[in-house]
Amino acid sequence: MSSPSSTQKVIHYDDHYVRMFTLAGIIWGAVGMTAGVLIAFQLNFSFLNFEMPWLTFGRLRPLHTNAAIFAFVGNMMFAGIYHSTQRLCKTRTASDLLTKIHFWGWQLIIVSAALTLPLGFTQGKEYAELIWPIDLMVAVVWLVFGFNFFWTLARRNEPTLYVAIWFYIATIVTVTMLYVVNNLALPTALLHSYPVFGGVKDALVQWWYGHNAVAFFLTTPILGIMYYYIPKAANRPVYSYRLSVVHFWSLVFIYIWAGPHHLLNTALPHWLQALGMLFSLMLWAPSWGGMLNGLLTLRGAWNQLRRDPVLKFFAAGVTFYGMSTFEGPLLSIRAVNYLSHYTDWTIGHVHGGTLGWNGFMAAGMFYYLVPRLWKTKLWSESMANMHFWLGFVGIVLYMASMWASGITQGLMLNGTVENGTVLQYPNFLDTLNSIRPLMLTRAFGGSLYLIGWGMLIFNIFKSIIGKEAVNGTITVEAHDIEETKALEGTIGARGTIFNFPMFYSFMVMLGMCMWFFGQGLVMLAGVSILILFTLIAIVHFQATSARWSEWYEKLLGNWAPFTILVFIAVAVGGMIQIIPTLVVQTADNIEGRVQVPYTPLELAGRDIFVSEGCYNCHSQMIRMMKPDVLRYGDYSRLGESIYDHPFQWGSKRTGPDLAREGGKRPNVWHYDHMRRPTDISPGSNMPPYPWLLEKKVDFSRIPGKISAMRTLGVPYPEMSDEEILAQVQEQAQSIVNDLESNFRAAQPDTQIVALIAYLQKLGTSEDSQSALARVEAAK
Amino acid sequence: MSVLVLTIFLSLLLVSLFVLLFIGERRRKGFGSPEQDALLPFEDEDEDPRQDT
Repeated sequence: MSSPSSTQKVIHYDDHYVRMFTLAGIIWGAVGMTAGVLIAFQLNFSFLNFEMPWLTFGRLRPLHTNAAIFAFVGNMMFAGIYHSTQRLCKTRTASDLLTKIHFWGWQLIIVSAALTLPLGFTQGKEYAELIWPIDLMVAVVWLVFGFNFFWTLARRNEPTLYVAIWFYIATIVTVTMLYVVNNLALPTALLHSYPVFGGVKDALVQWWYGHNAVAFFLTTPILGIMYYYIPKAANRPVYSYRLSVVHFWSLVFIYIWAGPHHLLNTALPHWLQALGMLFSLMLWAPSWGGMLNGLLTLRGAWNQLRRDPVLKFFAAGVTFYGMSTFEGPLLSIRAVNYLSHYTDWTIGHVHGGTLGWNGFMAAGMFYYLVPRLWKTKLWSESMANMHFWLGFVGIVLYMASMWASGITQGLMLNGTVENGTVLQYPNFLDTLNSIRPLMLTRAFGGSLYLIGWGMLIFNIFKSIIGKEAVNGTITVEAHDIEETKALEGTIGARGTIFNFPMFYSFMVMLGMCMWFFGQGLVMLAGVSILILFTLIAIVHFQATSARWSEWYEKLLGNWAPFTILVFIAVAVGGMIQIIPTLVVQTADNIEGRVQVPYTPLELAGRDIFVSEGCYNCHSQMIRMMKPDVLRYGDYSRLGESIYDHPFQWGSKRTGPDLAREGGKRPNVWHYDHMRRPTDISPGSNMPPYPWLLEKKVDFSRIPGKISAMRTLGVPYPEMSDEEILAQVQEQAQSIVNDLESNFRAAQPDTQIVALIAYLQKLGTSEDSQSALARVEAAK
Repeated sequence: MSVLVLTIFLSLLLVSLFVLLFIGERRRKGFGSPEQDALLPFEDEDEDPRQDT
């Protein structure tokens, strides 16, 4: 390396933590996948739950999803971001200390999650199960990461922000917003809290978060990684940089709106469902634009795919991205969702994304990075190729079996005879047992994928053992540094907001909102504004594209204004979804029915239901569909779950819906069923819960929980702690007496008694007017 | 039926617009500086022995 001249500056990159995040991602990936394979086998063989509370499916499934998302993809993403950002900004990460805090803080979060989730400490919301103290840690560590990242951008020695950086900015800004809002909770103890939103509000906020956790945690950072590493690995620039501009802005704008597609065919207002479906369908275009941009970057390099495992993983990963983003909008069509929702089809779709897109992009990036970070060669390219094919066959088996399983069970559950008046398969277990071979194929496919990952671990271990770790350096020219400084601050606040692209975007948005929310003339005016300003914008752009490009180039040299515009783009969709959630509990929407608040004992039982992760297999939402109504009873009104903090509508029915379970069966049935489900339901794959008959409920905590619920707006009458406890004892004793009359023994303070109380309450509602009168009278 | 006619008419209008824009884009000579930014990942770098703290 020649010594730098006086006009040059040598930059030493911090690659130590890139290595650390890489290794952490590889190890946590194995943990997450192992948990996934275990729970896949549990679905086939319930004895694999080992009758141990911390090994049941309901507790391990959140561990699997959180490990896959936050531990595996999280660490992988951080490795890619730290490595590529330094190089794209030609500067070392701003603070080594902050990077260190980020790394160790993130690992502490993962370990905390790995301990608390199997122990049953959960918030009961999918992908947001982590309890509030861990949520606070996530918020702090994420802010440290964000601060360090933006500080690095501010210290960069490269005038322009490359497309990968845009995606990283969108990730940091949006995940902060989503995570904070969805995890707003009222703590009742060190390890327990209730979400501030309840019922339909919680459902909308949760799926605004849940859907966009996929978008902005599992997609945008990986797209940034795609835009950096595929050109590097193929040694050719991205196919179309202009397309990447369109890809980025349309994706971040549209994605955020699509959340309600998780709640289709429910009693959710029709316009919200239509909005979710429409934006999901619109996502097809940017997603495929991005996929094509990634794949076409390999133009002229396809021959390299035969021998280079890195490109093989990248090409397949991007293809899976295309497949998943085709399938997602498809599943968001109400008619398709009618069949697919609550079935394995959704599970297959999700795993196409995580195993195919995230997993393969991670493998490709790790195989690319390791030789460069340890100045070595990959120990065995053949083994990496073998990993690819094993993983690929594993995904195909997984996805194909889940498609077949989902469609089979969906058709059986929705099948009717006698002109649609009688269910063709009234016994839920018949539908479950028909998909057992497919569930086993899924577990086998997952095992192949895990074996492939084991090969990656072995290969990388052999590659780096005894090898010298190296950090990258670069020599920066003084004029680059000066040019960067000269460009920063040139756009200003006025230039950021008051410009033609912003103006047209605003007008198009205005037109869309008037169209969606207006009636009659307002709606017509909205459509006209939308079409008119779209056309004017196109003509204007064609005429003066140079000036628009100049403005965008300026924007790319100003990280803060760029970030502000990204925030506006993602916040608009969020706001338009969140504001209706605040007004959605109107009299029209609750349809005259209001949930009867849980008694103190029922509330304690509900906490056990949430803690055991029952929502992972049982929904509490009867959709507005004939087969659902025939099978489970009248469709669920929005008012019937408004006091549920958290909501428990669920997303998968491995077992039947429980929304109207109350009163359907005697207490003794639930007692026997929880102790050993197969005694009551032969062929069931539900794990036994014998510990519920032994473990005690801490009654002394119930008054505090009632008080928290009251704070959240649940209309409990004023009661002293003694009155609450007396009510608990009375209800528990009546259940115990009933069980004893059926020759079953139980103590009043055991968990089974509280859980039975809760299950028997499900589906209890009252007329909204009489509820209001009762509350007024109590005051 | 009139909805069908309207849908087909609007769809054809959109398709024609996009085809025209595509042709216009293809005829545009050369590429602007945004395409140059695509070369950013290709800066040469050297390696240093690890200087971990």
